[in-house]
Amino acid sequence: MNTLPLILAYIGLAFMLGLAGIGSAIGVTIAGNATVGALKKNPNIFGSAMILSAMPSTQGLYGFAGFFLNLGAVTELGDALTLGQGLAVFAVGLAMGFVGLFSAIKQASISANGIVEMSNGHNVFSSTLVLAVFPELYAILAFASCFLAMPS
Amino acid sequence: MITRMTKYSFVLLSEQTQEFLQKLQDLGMVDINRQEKPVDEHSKEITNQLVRINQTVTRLKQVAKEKIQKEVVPFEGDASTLLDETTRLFSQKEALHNDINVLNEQIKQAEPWGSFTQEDLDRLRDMGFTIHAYVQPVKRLNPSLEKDYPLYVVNRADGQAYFIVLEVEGETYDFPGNEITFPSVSYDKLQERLREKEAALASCISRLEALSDHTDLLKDHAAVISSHLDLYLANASARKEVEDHVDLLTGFVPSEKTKELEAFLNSESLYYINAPAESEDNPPIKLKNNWYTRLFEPIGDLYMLPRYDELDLTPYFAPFYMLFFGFCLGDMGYGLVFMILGLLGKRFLPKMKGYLNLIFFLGLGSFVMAAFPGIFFGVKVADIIPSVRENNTFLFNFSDMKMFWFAILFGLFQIVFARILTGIDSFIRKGWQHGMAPFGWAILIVWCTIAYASMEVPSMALPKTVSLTMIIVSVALILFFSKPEGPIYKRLGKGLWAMYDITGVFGDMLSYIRLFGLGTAGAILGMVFNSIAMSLSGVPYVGWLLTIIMLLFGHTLVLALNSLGAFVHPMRLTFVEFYKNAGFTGGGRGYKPLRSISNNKEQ
Repeated sequence: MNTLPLILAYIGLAFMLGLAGIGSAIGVTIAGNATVGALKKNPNIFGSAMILSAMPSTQGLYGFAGFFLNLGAVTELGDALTLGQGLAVFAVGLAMGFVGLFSAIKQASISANGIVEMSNGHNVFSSTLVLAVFPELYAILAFASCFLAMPS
Repeated sequence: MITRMTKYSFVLLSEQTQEFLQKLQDLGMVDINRQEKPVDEHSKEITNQLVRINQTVTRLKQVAKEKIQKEVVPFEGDASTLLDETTRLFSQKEALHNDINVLNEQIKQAEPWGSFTQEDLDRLRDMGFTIHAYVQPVKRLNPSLEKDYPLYVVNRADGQAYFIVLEVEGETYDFPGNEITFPSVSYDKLQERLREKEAALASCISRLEALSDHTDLLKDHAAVISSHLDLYLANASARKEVEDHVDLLTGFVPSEKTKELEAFLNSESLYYINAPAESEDNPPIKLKNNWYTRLFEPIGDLYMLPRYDELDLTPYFAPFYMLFFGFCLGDMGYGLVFMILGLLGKRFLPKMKGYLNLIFFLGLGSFVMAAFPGIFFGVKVADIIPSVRENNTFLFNFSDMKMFWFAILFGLFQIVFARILTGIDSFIRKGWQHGMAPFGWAILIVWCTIAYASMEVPSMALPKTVSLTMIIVSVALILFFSKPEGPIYKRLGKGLWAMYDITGVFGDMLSYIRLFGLGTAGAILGMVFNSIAMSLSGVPYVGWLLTIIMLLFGHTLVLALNSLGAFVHPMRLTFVEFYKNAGFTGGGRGYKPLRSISNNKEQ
């Protein structure tokens, strides 16, 4: 029984789920901390600040969705998984994990800046919302690559 | 669509200006060119007063939220009295909170020393004694000290000994130890003070709660002040001529209201001229759209208004936004929830009718777009209705791969649509040469799409002559019409530079993959919660209850998270990809006519 492709695939899945989830956890914490600080200055911005704080939560979901898609495919193939397929899952797992990790943290820094400025009385909610989704595109592309590289 | 404006220039004697502006304010249709920020001390003062009222209203609303007593206590005074009393009470409340904190700290320190009076202390001092206070752990207090010094242990608590040593007048004081400050007020006296302060605080809060029912009085007062400020700023913005005897004012009126305005102006003794507003005049922007497009205006407002010489893109992005939202939400069931919320909400919240209609249409978009893959609350319709799969119906059978390509094609369609729109608009507004390059881009993008598709599906390949014509025409239009004026070599240079934009188009196209990504991720999460819920059904006795709870909890969570993404990402596609390809620059200022309180309320 050739277990190397399966080992590679499962390591890839661990990266995919783990790093993207960690990124979201760090991201929402950064933005959440900024919200708590901002509320001291201006308690009226909670609604908008909460929306911005939730922005970096999606990378973890992409990681999970990618994991779910690929887990199903890997489990279905089992021993029939080739080395190339196992490597592909490993590679996209790394990509999804790291892109998710960094894009969530960077997205959080944009959100946090927006939240701080909102607490200073600047009306930057909508522009922050638009700007904050810029780094997320790359996590979406990584998720799409998980889908494209899914073994079948 | 942007409402056409007519520009009016008024020439008035300085003493007429104030009265004239007041009449214009009552009329409520002329947007007089004016500063929006304070221009002098007086306007600063009014602005500060407005800020103060708004802050007070916000704080009172917070009090109203927290209050238990729901009974409304009438308030007899006017807005100024209310404002002054509220400000005083808030300051008093803050001071009392501080006092209570200080007292609590003092009580903590005084508690071990028990009760005493100032007279007791005075008597000791008169007898020639000075009190020195100490705290030491009981274990470390040497009993021999009590013999050597006039030492009295006042209290033993929590392992600490609180004691005083009396210094006798005229004798050397050499007690070893770190002295602490003896409390100046006794514990019971401090407790009494605390009770007084707490009672005062309760009374202060109770009064604030009573006043919190009258925020409308303050809001009306703010509206009056705001209207006064608006009038003042309009007056201050008048250009002074002829040694300040004559004022020149400029304003804009929607062209459809000029007759109404002129009927008023002709009854006044003043000189004015009017002309259709030009973009150089920087006229205000008033959008005029049909009921459907109006629902999406708040979304467009989140970015910026178009310039006067630009096309209002709201009618063109509205259907896309609705469908993109649906693509991202990716579930017919969630769409249905939005539609029901929108319909029912209108019955209970008639004031929010516009937003609820928007929610309904976003739900409709979700229902339609999610019908392609056929996802209903995380379940594939084709999995539960076998005939759908067997008959291979168009709807409910889109695979994930099909949805991936659908997202890209939908994006390309929007990009081509935006380019054609710019082409037609430039053609009409600026001349035919200006419309050519966008058409060239539209043809080139369509050709690239078909050429790529024909690599996968050869039957889609275009006839060679058609293909060649499309390439030559599109490239020629881009090369020669990207800069329609100037010598040919400059036009060509600009055209060559413009060709670089092909990378931008490619980037924009990839950006639409987010539609697929968000939709798929949401559908998978829904599916996961379904399988968790179903696995709970096996739990004895309460299995189905747990299943229902998990389904409700899970789908509510997914719906909330997906809705956020589905709201924001199409917004980015609109403001970045669509607006860029449609050549939108924006930066227009909103139409804000001088209005009095009465016509403000009518609006």
